Amino acid sequence: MWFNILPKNKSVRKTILNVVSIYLITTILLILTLSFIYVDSQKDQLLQSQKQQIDYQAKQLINQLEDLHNGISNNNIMYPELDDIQTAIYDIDKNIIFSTFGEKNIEFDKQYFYLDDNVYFIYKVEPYYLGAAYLIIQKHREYKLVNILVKLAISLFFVILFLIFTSFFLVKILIRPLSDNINLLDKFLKDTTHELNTPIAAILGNIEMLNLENMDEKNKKKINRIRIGAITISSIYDDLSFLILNNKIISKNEILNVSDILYTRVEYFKILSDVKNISFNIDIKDNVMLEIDTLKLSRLFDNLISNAIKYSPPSSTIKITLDDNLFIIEDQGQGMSEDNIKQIFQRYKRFDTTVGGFGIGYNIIHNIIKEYDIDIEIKSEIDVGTKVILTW
Amino acid sequence: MVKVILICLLNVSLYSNIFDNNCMSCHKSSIQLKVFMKRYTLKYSSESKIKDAIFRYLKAPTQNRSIMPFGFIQRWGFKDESLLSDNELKNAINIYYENYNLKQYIK
Repeated sequence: MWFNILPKNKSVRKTILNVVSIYLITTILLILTLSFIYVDSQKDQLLQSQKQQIDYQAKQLINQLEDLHNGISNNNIMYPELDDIQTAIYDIDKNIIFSTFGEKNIEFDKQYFYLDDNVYFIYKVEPYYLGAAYLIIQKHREYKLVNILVKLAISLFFVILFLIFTSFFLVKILIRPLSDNINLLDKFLKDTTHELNTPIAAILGNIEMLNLENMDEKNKKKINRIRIGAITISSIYDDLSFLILNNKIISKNEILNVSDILYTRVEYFKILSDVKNISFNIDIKDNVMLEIDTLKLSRLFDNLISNAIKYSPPSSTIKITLDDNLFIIEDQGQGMSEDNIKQIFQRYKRFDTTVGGFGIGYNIIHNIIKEYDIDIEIKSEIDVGTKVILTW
Repeated sequence: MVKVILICLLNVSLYSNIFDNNCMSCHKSSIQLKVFMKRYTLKYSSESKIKDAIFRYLKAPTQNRSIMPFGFIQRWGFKDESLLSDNELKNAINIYYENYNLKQYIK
């Protein structure tokens, strides 16, 4: 299909289609306007050229009527006939006197009118030779509006076809630098993510193996900071790799103990929350089960918990509740406006640039809850906090 | 049926007599009546307007109502007002129009 000429990148594809649509619509509108002007002028021009000739024939005919009127001596008047036109004369009361084209519904109040394939020109005659007050001339229409329109439509079809093809290539050429940059960025992200994996795993693994008991407090603190940093990088790595691979990995759904996983994830982030002296108020029902992919469930919890930590003020509390078919996380952070909540699921959307992150967290959450039909409700109040409720 | 035809023929004959007795008796020449009709047609165009103009003139002949030029009137003068009833006059005019209208000659 010709559609395959478009780049695979969704946003570039969308941009190209938008630009091409606008370009085509405006161009087609312009062409249509010009076409109508053209048709109108053609119609007028043809009619005018026809009318000049008819005017001359009408004058001739009126002269002939005058001669006939003045020359009546015997009982026969041979009505004049002209080669390529048919004529009729009507009296002042619009009654037919004589016609070579039969009786028609004549629109006497007009200078000309169209009927079937003919155009009728109306001339007033005075004095009334042979009683004729109106002379009607019928002429076969030299053009048909339908013919002009059909020709125009065929030409338009080819012009538009040509425009579509040229516009796609044109836009593709114009957008190539942008497309190249996006591809480069994609490749960079993929490579970076891949290259980050090994060192992060090495750092975290080796920290866990360190024997902290033999260390003095100063070194313990340093190691702890390294661990926090590594966990943060690890979380960002997980998010990025999830986003990059999202469309390529098939979910391995299994029935999981959500309660156990949630405990693990809260424990995982405890070290981060401790830095800000944030405490967790946990109310987790045991053995809540759900059929879901482990990686996706972890990403879902990790993002919700890390967001809550990120936007909570120091020494505040984060409340986490898990029940059958329900998960609630509530912080005492800065909160969000209604408008912000509406845009929260857009990728790279960040409302507070003073805290770290890429603005991909809620986009990941959105993708996961969409896949598993999980409902999300976000209640937030500025300077009071945010409450996120998941139900399934 | 025969009665109806006879009555119709009688009517036609009576009305013909009205025209013959009251118009042809003076004008005699059909050429003259043709000229009048040509002039009426040239000025009034339609059957109703022609008949109406003739009627008005015959009821009260004046220069304004006459179709003929001033010289003609000067020479021949006006005809006397018609003594026929409106109905009779209209019938006579109908016969005149039937026999002399230009439309019938156009082929």
